[in-house]
Amino acid sequence: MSFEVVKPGPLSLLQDGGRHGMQHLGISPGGAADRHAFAWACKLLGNHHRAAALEITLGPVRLIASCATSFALTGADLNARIDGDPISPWCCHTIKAGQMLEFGLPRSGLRAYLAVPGGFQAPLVHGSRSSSVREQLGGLHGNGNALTAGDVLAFEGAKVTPRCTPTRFIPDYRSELTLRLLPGYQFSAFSKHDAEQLLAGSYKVSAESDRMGYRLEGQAIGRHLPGIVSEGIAYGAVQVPPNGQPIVLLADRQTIGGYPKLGCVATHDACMLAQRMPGAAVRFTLADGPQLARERQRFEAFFDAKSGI
Amino acid sequence: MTLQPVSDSACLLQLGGPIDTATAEQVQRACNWLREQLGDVVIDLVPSYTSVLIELDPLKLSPQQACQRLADIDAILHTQADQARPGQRFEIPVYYASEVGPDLSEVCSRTGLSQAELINRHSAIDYRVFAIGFAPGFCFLGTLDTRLQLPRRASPRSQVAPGSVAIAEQQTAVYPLATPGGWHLIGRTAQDMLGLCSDPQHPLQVGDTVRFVPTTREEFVAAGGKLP
Repeated sequence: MSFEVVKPGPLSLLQDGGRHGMQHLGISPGGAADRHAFAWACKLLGNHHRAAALEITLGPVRLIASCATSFALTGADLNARIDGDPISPWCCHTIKAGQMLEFGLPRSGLRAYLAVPGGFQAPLVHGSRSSSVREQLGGLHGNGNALTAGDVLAFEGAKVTPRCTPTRFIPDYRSELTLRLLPGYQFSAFSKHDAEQLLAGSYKVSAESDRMGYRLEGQAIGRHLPGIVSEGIAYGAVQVPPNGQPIVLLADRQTIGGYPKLGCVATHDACMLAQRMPGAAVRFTLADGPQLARERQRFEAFFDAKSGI
Repeated sequence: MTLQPVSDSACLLQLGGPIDTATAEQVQRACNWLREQLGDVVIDLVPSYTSVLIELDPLKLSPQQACQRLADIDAILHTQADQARPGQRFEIPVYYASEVGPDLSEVCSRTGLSQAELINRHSAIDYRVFAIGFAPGFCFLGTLDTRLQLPRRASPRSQVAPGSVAIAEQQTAVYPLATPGGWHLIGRTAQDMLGLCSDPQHPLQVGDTVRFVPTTREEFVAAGGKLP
């Protein structure tokens, strides 16, 4: 079974749960930019998180199904249609041979996840199928490239029970986002005034945001701080370069870096950030470490392959 | 030495101390000990110059629990200081020439060294791997001979050829793939750096040593090196 790519869109990438255990080689963990939406796509189909899905950023994409199949769609609402008939995200759907699955521009969110039973086939590169464009690793052809017209997305397929994500679990990507920050790294090197500015201000997502990091624009903080000795960067780390504008580091982050960091935002909040368009408003609040760790543990347990829907 | 939770699934071990070989050895010891202690609880260990980031499996251990379990690390690393596992030593052949090292002549004129002298000095030292990052297989090596130390280029290149051997400030490195870069390019190697780092038996790791060995144009090409 396969989907043929007629129109690839600006950035359509195969992604899975990430390339873990390779950061000591300088290889970024990558993986789905919004792990929450990706994990739901896996859960709807009973896929393992190592099964690759298609992450469609921003939209205009056209795919043609070679055979009848089921698929799951989660994440951003990209105005998806089958032969012109609208279908809703956060559900499983079926498509017949020869029909066209089409995505338009975002109505809510930025990245949609298209998953198929068993995942899309691609070579495993350092343990993952995730595309890393910058590192030239993974993806459909193993070289990190985004999809291009004429690519064929093959998969095994299987019968699935059609399901949808319960409404209470579907996030509203248009709401103002508050990022819960666990203070850490160099947080204590920032002044009390810097911390107050960070928590009082509202930041806007910059146009220069991508899968590597989200740049925020607003009140400058910590401009007086010197660089640090390069150290490992955890998912969701908030680094502050000399211009004082925070950057939240996401899936495609570099493994080590030398800018001072305030700590890390909760994994769930970083996923929600990855769905924001430039211009979206973002705030920070301080969070309690044990509470964030318990929430993360629940997240992983909920989406663990062994648990049901 | 400090150990702190930094995210909902990671801890950071900061060893402090200067960037030197003693600290690099301590980082390597800490990594070995952490792998022994934590086993499959560890998803990623990211060693750098003076620190180790520990990414944990959130289903197995919280960062707070990990910090408790590792509370003795300071004492343990100090008592183990004299039983350090000797790091491995790797030799990397380099073709030093202007055709593959476009900054070679400029580096010579700025340092006042002849080309032969520069090559001698660059290949006369066992360099320590202080960190791996920036790109897959990019090893930050030090410490460079003081006569070769120059600030980074004023304007970085938008793309550096893979295999380029470069110097900047106190460090030297090989660019493993085509990336932007602001270091001075003095030669090229055919060695696959990511392959060396990910070798299943004897991987090149932080704390190991690297020596550059000058080769001829013919040897470089025979080893698969690409000329411009």
